[in-house]
Order: sequence, then C-alpha cells, then structure tokens
Amino acid sequence: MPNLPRQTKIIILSMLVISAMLSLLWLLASREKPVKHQPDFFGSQTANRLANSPPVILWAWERPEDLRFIETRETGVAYLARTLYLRGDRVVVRPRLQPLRVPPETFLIAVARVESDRRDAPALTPSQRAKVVAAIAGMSHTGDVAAVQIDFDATLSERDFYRDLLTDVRAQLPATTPLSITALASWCMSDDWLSGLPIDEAVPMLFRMGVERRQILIHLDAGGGFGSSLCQTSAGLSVDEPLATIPAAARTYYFNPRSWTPASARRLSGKSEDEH
Amino acid sequence: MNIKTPKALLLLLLVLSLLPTTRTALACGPYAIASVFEFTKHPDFPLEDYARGNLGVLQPTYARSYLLAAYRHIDGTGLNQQEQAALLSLWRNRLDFTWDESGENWVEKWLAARKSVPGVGELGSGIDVYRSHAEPDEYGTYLNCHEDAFQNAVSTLQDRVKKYGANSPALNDWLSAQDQVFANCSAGETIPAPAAPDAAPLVRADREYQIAAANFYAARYDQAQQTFSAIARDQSSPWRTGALYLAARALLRKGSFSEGESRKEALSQAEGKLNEVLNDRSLNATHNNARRLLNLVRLRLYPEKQLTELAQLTLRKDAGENFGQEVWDYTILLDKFIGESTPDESNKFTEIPDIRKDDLTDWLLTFQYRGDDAFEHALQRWQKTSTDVWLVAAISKMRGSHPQLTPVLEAAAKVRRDSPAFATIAFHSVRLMLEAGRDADARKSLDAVLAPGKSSYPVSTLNRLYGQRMLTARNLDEFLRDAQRTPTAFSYNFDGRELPEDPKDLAKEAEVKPFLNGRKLFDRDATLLMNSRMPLALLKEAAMSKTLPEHLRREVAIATWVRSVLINDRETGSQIAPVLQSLAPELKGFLEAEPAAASPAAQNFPALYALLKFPGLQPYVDPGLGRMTPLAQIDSYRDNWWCEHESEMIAPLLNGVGESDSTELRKSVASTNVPPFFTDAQKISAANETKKLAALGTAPNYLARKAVEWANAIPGDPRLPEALHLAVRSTRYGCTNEQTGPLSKAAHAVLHKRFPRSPWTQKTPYWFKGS
Repeated sequence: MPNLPRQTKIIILSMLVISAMLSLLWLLASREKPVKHQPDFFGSQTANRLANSPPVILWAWERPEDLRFIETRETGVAYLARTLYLRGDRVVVRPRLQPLRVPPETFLIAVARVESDRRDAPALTPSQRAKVVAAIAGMSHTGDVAAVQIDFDATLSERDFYRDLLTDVRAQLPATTPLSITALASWCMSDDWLSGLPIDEAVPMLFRMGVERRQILIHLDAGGGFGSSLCQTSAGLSVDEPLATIPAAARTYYFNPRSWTPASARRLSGKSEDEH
Repeated sequence: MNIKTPKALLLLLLVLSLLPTTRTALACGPYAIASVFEFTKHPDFPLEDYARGNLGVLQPTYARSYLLAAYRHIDGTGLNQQEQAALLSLWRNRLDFTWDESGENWVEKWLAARKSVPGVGELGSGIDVYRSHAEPDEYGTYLNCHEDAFQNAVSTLQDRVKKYGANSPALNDWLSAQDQVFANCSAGETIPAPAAPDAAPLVRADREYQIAAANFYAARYDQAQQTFSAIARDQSSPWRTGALYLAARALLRKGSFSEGESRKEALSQAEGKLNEVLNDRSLNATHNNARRLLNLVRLRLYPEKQLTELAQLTLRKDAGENFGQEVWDYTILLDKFIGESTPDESNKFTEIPDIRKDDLTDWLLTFQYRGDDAFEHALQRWQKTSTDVWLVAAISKMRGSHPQLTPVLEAAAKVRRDSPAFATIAFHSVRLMLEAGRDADARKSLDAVLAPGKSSYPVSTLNRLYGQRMLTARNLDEFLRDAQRTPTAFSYNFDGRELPEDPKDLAKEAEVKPFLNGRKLFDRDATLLMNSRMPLALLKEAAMSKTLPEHLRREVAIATWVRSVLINDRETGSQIAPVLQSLAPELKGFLEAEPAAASPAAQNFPALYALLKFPGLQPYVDPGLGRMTPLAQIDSYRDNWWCEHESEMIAPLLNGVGESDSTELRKSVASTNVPPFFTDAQKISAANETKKLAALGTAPNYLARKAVEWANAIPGDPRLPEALHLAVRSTRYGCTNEQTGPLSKAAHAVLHKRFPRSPWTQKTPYWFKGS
C-alpha cells in the first residue's frame, strides 16, 4: 500500500486486524461448542411453544379426576398418562387407569413418569431408550394433548441416558408440541446440568424436596431465584406444602395429594376459602 | 418435689402423631435414609404378628384393612389361619408399589404357544392388554384382556392341535380368528366372520365364542352379551357353562363405563344374569366367580347397602374363601365414600355420608375422624355397649380434663393383659393420667406394662411407651434410659408410605450397617428436649453418663462442647473436652484451650479453629441416624455445622410433614415442657442458653465474623490464613442467609490483603453471596 495516504493505511490495517481477531474469535467459539446434542430445536417457527399455556396447571395424578369445572383460559391440566418402569433391560409401561374429565378447550399436558427399579437397576441401553422414547412420544397422539412432560428424577449416572432420551423424544414429537420436564430444585440452582437440553421448560419441584429442603427454602426466602434459564418460567408446588416465597413464573404447576375439587382449585387463586 | 405435668410436650407429641403424612407416588427428593421409630401408615413388620393379634398401639392413621383386622381381634371374632393368609396377601398386594408385570407374562405365554404351531408367523405388533376408554374418557385406560383370556386361549389351542392336527386348515382358521379376537385388546373393532354353516359343530361353536369374545374386547357389549347368552342356550356348545357368566360380565362392563339410567339398567341386567347362574346347579363350576362378580355388581348398583352387607360378611367368624375379596371390596368401597386418606381437620365427622349403619363402619370411621363430635359418639357407644372396641375409640380421643375420665380409666384398668386392645388402652390410659397430672400413677402403669419379660409388643409400640416413660423420668438416668430407642426400620420414605428398605441392601451402606443389629438411637422427642430445654450442665452429665452407649455419648458430647464454646462456658468446655476426645479421637489436638495467659478473646480461637476444621461439629443433637458424613468432611447436602436456632428445632420434626403444619409445630415447640426432675434453676439456665444460641444465628456467619475478629486480635497467628480460608469455605457449604455475603467478603478480603502469598489464599479465589 505504498501510494495510499498514511491515515488510510492505518484505517485499512486496523480493519484487517479487527477482521483477523473476529475470525479468530469465531473459530475459537466454534471449536468450544460442539453441537452434538443441540440441533436447531428452537428455531423461530417453534420458539416459545408454551406461550399460549394458561398460568395455572393442575397436575392430575393417578386418581379419578373430574376437572370439568376449571376455567380453561386460566387453568390447564397436566395428567399422569403413563408410568414407565426401567427394570434391567426392560421397560414396563403402566398406562393411566383412572378416569380424567376435562372441558373441551383444556390446555392438556400428558405426563410420563419414569422410574428406575432400585432392585433391578436399569441397563440404560440404546434399545431401552428407544422403548421409552416410543412410549413417551406416543402420548402426544392421545385426544387433545397439547404438550408432553417427563417426570424423571434421574440420578447422576442416569443423566447421559436422560439427555439422549430427551433429544430423541424431541425429534419424534411434532415440531410445535412443547416438551417440558420436571426438575429437582437443585438442578435449577447449584447443579445446572440442564443447559442445552432440547426442552421448553424445566419445572422446579418445590415440594417433597427431601434432604435439600432446608437449603432451598432459605434460598427462596432470601429472594434467590434459579440460575438455569429453563427453570425460570415455571414452578411446581403442592397444595399441602405452601411456601412463604414463591418464585415469579409464567406458569405454576400444582400437585394435590387428593383428587381436585372446585374448592381446592379455587383456593389456588385465593378466590374463595369455602369448601362445599 | 413439685412435679409438674409436661402437658405441652404431650400436646406436641399428639400433634406429631396426628399430623397427616399422606404422600402419593410423586417423588422428588433426593431423600436420605432415615430411621423409623414408629410406623403410622401400617403396623410393624412382619405383618404376620399383627394378623395373629399382636396389635400394639393402634393408630387411626393405619389403612382401614388393618383396622378391620384389629376390630375382629378386639371384639373376639379373631382371624383363623385362612383369613390371616388372605389379609396378608391383601396387605402385601397393596404395599407392593412395583408394577405387576404378569400382564406381559400372560401375553408372552400365549405368543409362545401360538408360535409353537408349525408355519405360524410372528404377530407384527404384539398384544397390548390395555385399551383407552371411549370419548370423553379417552385419557383413561383399562385392563381389557385379562389373564384368564390368554390361559383359555392356550389350553384351547393345545386341545385343538390334538383334535385337528397342527397343520390342519381348521386349526389355522381358529388361530386366525383368535388373532382377530386379541387384536381388539388395545383398540379397534375386529370381529371374526361366522363359521361356514356346514362346518363341524365344534368349529362353529368355537367361532361363536370367538365372535362373542371379540365383541367383548371391542367394547361392543350389547353384541357380546347377546352372543354369550345365545351360547348359554346352546346345550351342545362346549362353551355353554361359562357363557351366561360372561354375558353378565359384558353387562357389568357396559354398566361400569356408562352413566345414569343406562348404567343402572346394564348393572341390573348383570345382576339378573348372575342370579340366574347361581340358581342353576348345572353351572356350578362358575358359581364362585359369579358370586365375586355379583358382589362387584352390587357394589356399583347399591353401594351403601353393599357396604353394610360387606361389613357383615367380613365380620363372620370363619368367613370362608372369599374373605380376602370381601375385605378388598369393603375397604375400596369405603375409600370411595370418604377418600383414601386418613381424615384430617378439614373432614368433619358430622359430614360423613350416611354409611355408618353397621358397627364396623361406625367404629372404623369414628376411630379415624378427629374432633369432639367423633369423641362424643365414641364415648356414647362405649357407654351403651361396654365393649373393648368402643373403649379403644373413646379413650384414644379423650382429654385428661374430661368429666368421664374416672369411669373410662377404671374400665381401662380392667382390660386383661392378653387382650389385643391392651397396648392401645394402656398407652392412652397413661396419656390421660399425665394430662390429669397423675405422673406417679402414669409411671407405675408404664413400669408394669414394660416390665421385663412381660411384653412382646411391636417395636413401634415399645417406642411409644418409652416416649411416655421418658416424660415421667425422675432423674437423668431414667430420662436417658428411655430417650434411646431401637428403630423399627430404615426407610427412604420417598413416597410417604414408610416402606422399610431391605436390610440386605442397607448392609451394603457402610454408614447404616452398624445400626442394623438393634443399636439404639435418639428419637426426635428426646432430642427436642435436649436441644431446646436441657441446660448445658445436664447435657454435660448426659455426655458422661454410662446409661448411654458410646455412639450416643459421642453425639451428646459434641453438642455439649460446641455449645460450651458458643455460649462461652469455659469450665464446661474444659471438663467435656477430654471426654469428647476419647469418644471422637479425630478431634485430638483440637480441643485444648489457649494458655491462660492469652487474652480472653484469644482463648476461644483454638475452639474456633476446630469448628472451622470440622463441619460435623454442631451444638444440637440429631435424632435418628443424624449426620452420617465424617466430622471432618463437608456433607454434600449442606448438613454442615448448624443453621438458625428455630430451623434446627423444627427441621427434624418436619421430616415427612408438610410446611403447612410447621406453624402448629412451632407453637408446640415454643411451649414444650420438661420431665419432672428438671429444677426451676435448670429451666432458667436452659432458657438463657437457648436465647444466646439463637442470637448467634447460622454457623457460617458466626465463623466468618469470628475469623475476622481473630485476624484483628492476633495478626501474626500462623493458623490465620487457613482459618480465614475455612471461614470462607463455610459460607459456601453451610447454612447461609442474606447476611452471609458481606461476612464472607470480609473474611476473603482480610485473607487476600494480609496473606497474599499464602497457599490458603490461592485456594480461596471467591467469596460467597449466600442466600
């Protein structure tokens, strides 16, 4: 660049240096983040799949539930549709045997609970995973199911299996069907292994917290939230364990150890204390 | 001596015993293994003892089938061997939460039999025995194809192979039709075509049966019922004997899956058909099944009447082979009326539906319900009947201030020791005596009940009785003797069902293994008293007492030493230090006080250093297994040092209890009283010490603050860099709050400023905000 003015040379050189630095940064960034488990599940078409869900979701567990009284703009239902037992290399699928009634417009989430047999430890093989995936993905074809949720308290040694399982389920669900999971509160706090999972939300379970209960309640009472962004849109509570501090969330799931009644559902919104 | 009745503690224990702990199988966790001292949902294991009549102290929170067994034993009907076996089977069935895989096995056996026929290919998609209900109930499923269907198919296949030959067209036709039958198990309506009119009679009969079965599984119940009824009229059909029963079964299903008049009509028709079966001696082979089905039909058709009938059936002496099924039906039906869970305060006795028409149902619900109405009814029933069953219900709900106390206690005293009701009545008699201020009578009764060689009660019952006797202790030794209990089981209790872990599995866990052979532990009522009402001087005596085994003395000695440090009682500290050192050798070298020449502030620094080094040191005694992580090791679940005073008092009590109950617990803890041997001076000391401990707040805050004070007081102390590092570490792994952050930051800053090149500083890159 012998004939260019000195100022122009400086500008050009600066631009070259900046370009080189940007390229290097881009290369480094690309090397640091392999995309093994992160296909583009969050494309613009499917972004925020849960945007239309109501703010309150009632968990309808394995007991007779007649929820025809709910106001569907305010309240959705996540019903236990299947329980899957992982035993050795087998998967035993237990379907829902109790009746469930909901109004026609209900935002309905089919929940699969996955349990590992503690006496016959699961093999966690690809073929076992495939059976689980088929059973869970199949739930989305039932009635008016709008979303799928998985409830699996995966231990440390089961996390790789669970991660791959979620990837496979996501791939088999229709692109617009949201995939939710329940999460131990610790997963959302100090033990964030959720990042990058192909899910739309992880619902922090703020009840039956076991040995971590004390620390989690102190954390919440002090105004602490959840580090993982996947945990920040929802919270899971139980009607028999009201909390002093409930983290702000777009959706609150409620568990009830008994069948829901209009009165017990009304109490969630504080509309009435009467039970008739 | 002025003996004061520990009414408040009794109230607390009552509160604890009545708190609802119902949990359903939505486990979160993680859960820690816990020692169970008293079962509340079911009796102790082995259940055979209970079935034989060793009832122990009955709990209203037991599942109703256990209470039914108790009623029979107490009213003198008893349970014969066959009835005991039936109940044990029912209990095991209900306690076993694992999914029965036999559904898969039935199918597998059929598929294997099918495959054994030469030339028969595999079934493409297998057979799913569950079918979804029709709209609007499509989210529920039911077991459509039962075991008997597959067993029947296997035996018929084997028979037809013999008759027609494995390669015959007739067998091939039968198999194809049978595949169509089972195709309906999960979905669809696949009905085999009728056999050719000129086919052999057996072929035609088989096909008619297959058509009926296919209609049944396809939920075409009218067609199924008609076809089965036609088969029943066909004297030549080999399927005639069971056909009428199956027609009733089709009607039962139709009725069960419909509502209103249609339901009633179908169930009434089913009832008619089943009565027809039972009135026909030629159908004798199906009578047992028909009787069971008839019970089910009536259960749905006349639930209230059937409940009363079932109650009467289950109370018959030598009730017969259907006893187990009758108890099953009775308890399920009762659950439908009033819910599965034990009634709580929100369930009013006066609002029970009109179902207390028989004595069993009346007693069972009265015993389970809380409140004055239930008690008054129980008292009236006892006054009217003078039976032990009603005495149990009345005495278990009575208060010590009730005007009818004396006649009730007099009647209780007459109950013979060999009565199945004895333990329950003795326990509540003692409770009432304590409530009425008759401590000496209570102690005398307990000593008699617990006399060596005279009791073979379940462990839960012994622990309940020891808990009562602990409250009547006349001295520390008596208190310590009864404070230690043998766990009846160890359980993760992740679903609230108090299911014990298999000892073989637990034996693999090194921390739990030593406790599997009956080693005693403190129950929570004892530690509550030690932690909130016992003065340091008594705690020190307890730590030195030979009444306690070494492992419990160690726990008490740790609490004594830490408490002496925290409330600055050097004399007690120096007295307990050698005891603690002998019980916890890992603390050797860490418990010596600073030389007397040092400043008063400096004298505590060695103790602070020990606290920092050993996250297992705490001023409270844990109930049960307690903290199982070694003293010097950080616990993964942040059970390190101590939290704020109130949460330390409440947390162990909240095990398995909802947060909503904690307010009631807090009130009870605050008003808890003490056994009679505590002097007024000791009570005042304990109250002052408790106040001081509460003021210290959570451990990390205390440790960080004291470490900084140490750095300011003795800047050249060589232990300081490590102490400051450990103080910052405590704010990461301990119980923190909103005040922790600034204290952590201050300790971190002192460390980095004064000791920038220390390896401890290198290991402390961050301070922690706490939460």
